[in-house]
Amino acid sequence: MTTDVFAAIAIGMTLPPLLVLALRDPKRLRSHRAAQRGAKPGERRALALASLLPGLVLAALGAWPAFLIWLGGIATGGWLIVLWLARSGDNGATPS
Amino acid sequence: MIRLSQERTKTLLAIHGWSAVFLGLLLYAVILTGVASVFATEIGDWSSPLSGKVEDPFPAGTDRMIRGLAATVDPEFHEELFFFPRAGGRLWAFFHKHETDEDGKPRERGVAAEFDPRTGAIIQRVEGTDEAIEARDEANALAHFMVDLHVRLHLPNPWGLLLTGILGLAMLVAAVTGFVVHRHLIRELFTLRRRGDRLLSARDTHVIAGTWNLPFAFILAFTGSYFSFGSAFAIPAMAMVAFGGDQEKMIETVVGHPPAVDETAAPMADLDAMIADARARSGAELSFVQVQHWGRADALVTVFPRYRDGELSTLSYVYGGADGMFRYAKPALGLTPSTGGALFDLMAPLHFGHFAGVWSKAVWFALGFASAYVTITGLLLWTTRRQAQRGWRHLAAATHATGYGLPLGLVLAGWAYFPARAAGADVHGAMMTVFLLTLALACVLAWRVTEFATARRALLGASGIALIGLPVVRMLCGGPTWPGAFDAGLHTIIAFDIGLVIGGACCLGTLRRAPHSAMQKTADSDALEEAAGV
Amino acid sequence: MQMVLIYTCAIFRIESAVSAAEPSPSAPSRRAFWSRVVLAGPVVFVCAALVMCGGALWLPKGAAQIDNLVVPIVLFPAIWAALFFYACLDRRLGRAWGVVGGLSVAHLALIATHLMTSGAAA
Repeated sequence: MTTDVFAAIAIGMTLPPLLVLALRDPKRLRSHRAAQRGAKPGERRALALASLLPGLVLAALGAWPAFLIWLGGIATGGWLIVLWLARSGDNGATPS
Repeated sequence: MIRLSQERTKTLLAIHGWSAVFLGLLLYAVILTGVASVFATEIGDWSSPLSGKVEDPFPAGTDRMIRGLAATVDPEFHEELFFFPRAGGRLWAFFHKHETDEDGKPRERGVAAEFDPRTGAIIQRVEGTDEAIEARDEANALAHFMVDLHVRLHLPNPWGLLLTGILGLAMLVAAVTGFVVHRHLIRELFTLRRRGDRLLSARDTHVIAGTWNLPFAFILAFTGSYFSFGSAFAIPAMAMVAFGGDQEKMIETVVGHPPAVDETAAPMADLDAMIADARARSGAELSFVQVQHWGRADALVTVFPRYRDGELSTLSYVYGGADGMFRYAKPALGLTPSTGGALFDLMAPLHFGHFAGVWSKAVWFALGFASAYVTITGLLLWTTRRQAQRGWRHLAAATHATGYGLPLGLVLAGWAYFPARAAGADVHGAMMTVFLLTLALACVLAWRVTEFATARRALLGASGIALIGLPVVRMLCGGPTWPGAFDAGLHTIIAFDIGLVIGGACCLGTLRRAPHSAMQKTADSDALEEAAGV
Repeated sequence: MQMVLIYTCAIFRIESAVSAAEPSPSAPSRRAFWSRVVLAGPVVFVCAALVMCGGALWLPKGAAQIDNLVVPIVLFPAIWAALFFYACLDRRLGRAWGVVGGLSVAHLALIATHLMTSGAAA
């Protein structure tokens, strides 16, 4: 149970910065010809670090099962975010 | 950052693409069935439930069940005993001896029985070799169909294992070369172009899924090829070198049980007490019990618990069979912790994803699905670029037939299982016949249509309907209805049914969208070159 | 059968893809290509198997006296992958044959010596 809770909290903490990172990704915005300004390199680094931090904490705590679920969860979550944003872009919406 | 010359990049790109082309369809079959196999236990529970929920597969009274069976079994089969929970919570026990077959390969022969742990009654009792007993097992047949396809593509040993081992190595190569060749695309981790050239968009779809899934593709490929090669040739080869070909002796050495022999007859101590003690010591539920030399003074009982919360390895607990005294706790391999034992311990949780119950399995299911998606989209990309050429059109047709026909075949194998079992027919034969017929029909469809999109729509649509209909078939063939399952506490059945219906709805939902962009023709040959990655 | 034909044709396409960097694939480059295919394919696989089996004889046994047996089996995919990529990417094909062949011969000799010694002892 602790593993599930740790993993769920870590995934919950990773997905928001990951979503912001995706929404403000300059390459993605350019490819969608969006007028919105992309994140600066410093902001992107900070967001990437914030995304990875929960996993690093789990690794530091030695909670390896939770770490693996977190890693798998953000891999799947990241993939789904990209698919969702691409479809939103398709529909002409800017999901921000 | 790895810097490669243009020549080396081209070589790696060629290896990446061609390794997939040569083995991609089989690899896709192995991955897709692997995705289903993640939930093999749940498939067994869903397809063959008992009339009520089994709260504890090793209840008080296990000793009485096993002892009763032992009394009816030829003592020559008392050499070794396994018992562990299987489909629906049945307790499966197998008294056996070790022997070699006509080809000199080790096998087991004995008596197996399936118990209902709630009543202690024997549901089924069979005798024969391990393979023959497995072939007569109906309760686990649907799960075994998926697992066997995943593990050895239903080919005889060791050829099936060798083939899946090679497929694992091909996936390893595709993952490593994909990372090295497309590493610059990590910067495009969030970029999926839907506008503009359709094949570029398809390339993005393939690369994005592959990039996000890369660490797990590597892990699954590595551990998968280890499991295949390990039993197919590594253990026999290693035994040949280090133990003069004696595999039993090698396994005994590696597992680490002391070889002390005392053939004096001695009654077995209470198994229930040992099970209770192992539960208390491990703090986890139990998964498996092994008894060596039942009814002898040197009898040894080893209890294997499941993973304790927060751990990726377990200790097993060893008891004297005659006195019931706790002897020692040991890792899976060896008597003390070791590098080899730790590496070995990691392989199973990393491959099966079963270390934290249903949540870790769900994540592994999603990652496996992503791997299957990457494989099939990669093949579609590769063949689309070349589909104007006659030979390549055949591979494109095979890719469509396998890509969309295989999931349909797996679902229809489930459609065959329930009526065959209800009618008392051979479930294994029925499932295999329907599966192969579906694949053959998918091939006919893919080869005869002028537009592959038509085959895709037909097969995806059929898969959607088959998935939604499968719970109905299950119920019509005597399986519990939802109210009945709810009352009996069989919640897995309801959850699984809902999962199937959602899966079916997703298949039908994708039909509403435009056909797979990879299959749309495009006139820009340069874009095609770039998109296909050559 | 058609699939076999496609695959047979495909191997020729690899050759053209790999040698695309060169202006015109000559007979020696074609020979080099096939030599590399043989090296990276069956030869590397056999070499990895020999290294795995031979490893049991020279790796330390470790605390539980099993590391020499277990580690090579668990790491077999890594041994194969390292040898495969080396065989594919080393610019000097002769050197690649030398390294892979040398490893194979060394482990084969080790295994043969062990089997003869243990056979004589028995």
